[in-house]
Amino acid sequence: MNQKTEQLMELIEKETDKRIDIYHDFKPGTQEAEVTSFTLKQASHAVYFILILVALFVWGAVSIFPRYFPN
Amino acid sequence: MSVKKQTTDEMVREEVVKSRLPTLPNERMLSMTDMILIQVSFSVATWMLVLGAWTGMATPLPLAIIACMVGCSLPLLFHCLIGPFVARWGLDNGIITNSIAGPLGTMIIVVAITTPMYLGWTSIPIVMFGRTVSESLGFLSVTGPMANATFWSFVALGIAFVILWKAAAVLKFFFRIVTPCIVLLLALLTYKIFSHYGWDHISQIIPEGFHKDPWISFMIAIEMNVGLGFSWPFSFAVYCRLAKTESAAFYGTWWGWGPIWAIACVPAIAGGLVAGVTDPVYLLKDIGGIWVVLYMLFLGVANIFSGICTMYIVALTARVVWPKLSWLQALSINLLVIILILIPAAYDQYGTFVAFYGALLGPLGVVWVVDILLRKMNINMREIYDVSSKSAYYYWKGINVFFVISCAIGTILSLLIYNPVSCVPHIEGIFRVCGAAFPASLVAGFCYYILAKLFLVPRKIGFPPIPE
Repeated sequence: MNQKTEQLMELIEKETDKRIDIYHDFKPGTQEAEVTSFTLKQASHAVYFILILVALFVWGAVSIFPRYFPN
Repeated sequence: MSVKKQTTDEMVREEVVKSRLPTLPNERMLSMTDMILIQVSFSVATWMLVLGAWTGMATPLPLAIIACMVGCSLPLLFHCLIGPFVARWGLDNGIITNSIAGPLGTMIIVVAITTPMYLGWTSIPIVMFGRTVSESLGFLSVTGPMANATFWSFVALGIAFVILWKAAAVLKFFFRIVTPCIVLLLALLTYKIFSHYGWDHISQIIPEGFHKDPWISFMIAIEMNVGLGFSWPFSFAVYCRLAKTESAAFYGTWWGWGPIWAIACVPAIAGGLVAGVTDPVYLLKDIGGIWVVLYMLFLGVANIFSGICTMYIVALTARVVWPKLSWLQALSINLLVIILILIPAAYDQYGTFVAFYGALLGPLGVVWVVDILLRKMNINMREIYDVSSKSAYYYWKGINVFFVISCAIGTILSLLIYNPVSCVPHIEGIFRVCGAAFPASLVAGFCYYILAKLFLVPRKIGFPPIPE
């Protein structure tokens, strides 16, 4: 069992080194990487979501809350 | 020879989901749909039921829905950039956190913050499973040791443990099949609650609240949900490193843990308001009949599934930080949940638990995101795997002091504004407008930006050159 674990450890270490080299080669975040990168345009949608959620909070505060607790 | 090579490849493929190996792009198997389904599988179980019931005890139905939607979704947007960062480099928490905290800092975070937190999260579905089965057997007039809730909690822990031990790689198929079934069941239960009691009746119920001032009680409801929204920084890596696109890592996690979670809370809010209890096990007791059976079935399946999700995170992180651990040894750390089964503190004091971790992890996540922006989502792969004092990410004695200072400022400020244990705001002026964890996190992020710009970036401490 221990021998098997050691073999596995060795395998993982070798494979990790190999993969570190691969990552250096294909430059993550660029077109050479196969993982599609996150664009500024995609990120900008988050700003709209933030505005919608803030508006929802304000609506709750100024419109719904006074209906339950008028004073 | 070919058989041996195939075996090695298979071993590597299997190890990718449960070791420190960086995932390669061609190993990414999770699309946007998969990411949403996985995160929804977190949502549609215990945690959202408990959160919904607690929120329902704080404020009336429409305000409780707003509290869930805003509290769960808004803070999360400030943490979500961690997802694409992880997806870009395919690394797990135990490695990628070195870039912000340093190797010793990472170890301290894993031992002192994330592992206890996930053990707490895991205990909640496990305890609820036990109580659910115990309650179900009570309906069937079964008494004695077989109806003991603690016993069934141990059974749930055992089932989740065995599934993860023997079949971690098949989780994807569980997510694709089990999650939609659970969502369907939840939709049916939601329909039944509202058709049985009626929207008008439920929305007219005004709960006692957690504070004599109803606005502060509403803000406490938001604070609990903000605590939930801020509780994810160390959950991104587990699945985002397997995402096919960085956008899926960002929006897949946000939809699943944010708005969909909030929507899933609605039946629990309604049930909590009607039943007047914070324990979701009793939410449908008054409806009775086949619906209770369906509800108990839902709780049974969903709770074990939820337990699996967090137990997987604990085991994977442990194995990444301490690579010599076998999968079984790493998984066995989860057996500490036994303590929280016997003393169900996280389950019975959920509001405090979640708000406290919001104060702790909110600042930490925002500081991390500021760091990611400062380094333009780049890391040096060779340096980040090096935990020796020669590493560019070693900082000072293995800890990024400025990260610690910024997080401490945020957490202390949050706890100064609001005490999650006593549910009492100390600085009411701030708490009434924007709660505690949210403004404190923004202050922490701003502090780190200034400190890093002054002391880290110019000296290239923790910001090494990136190979072209």
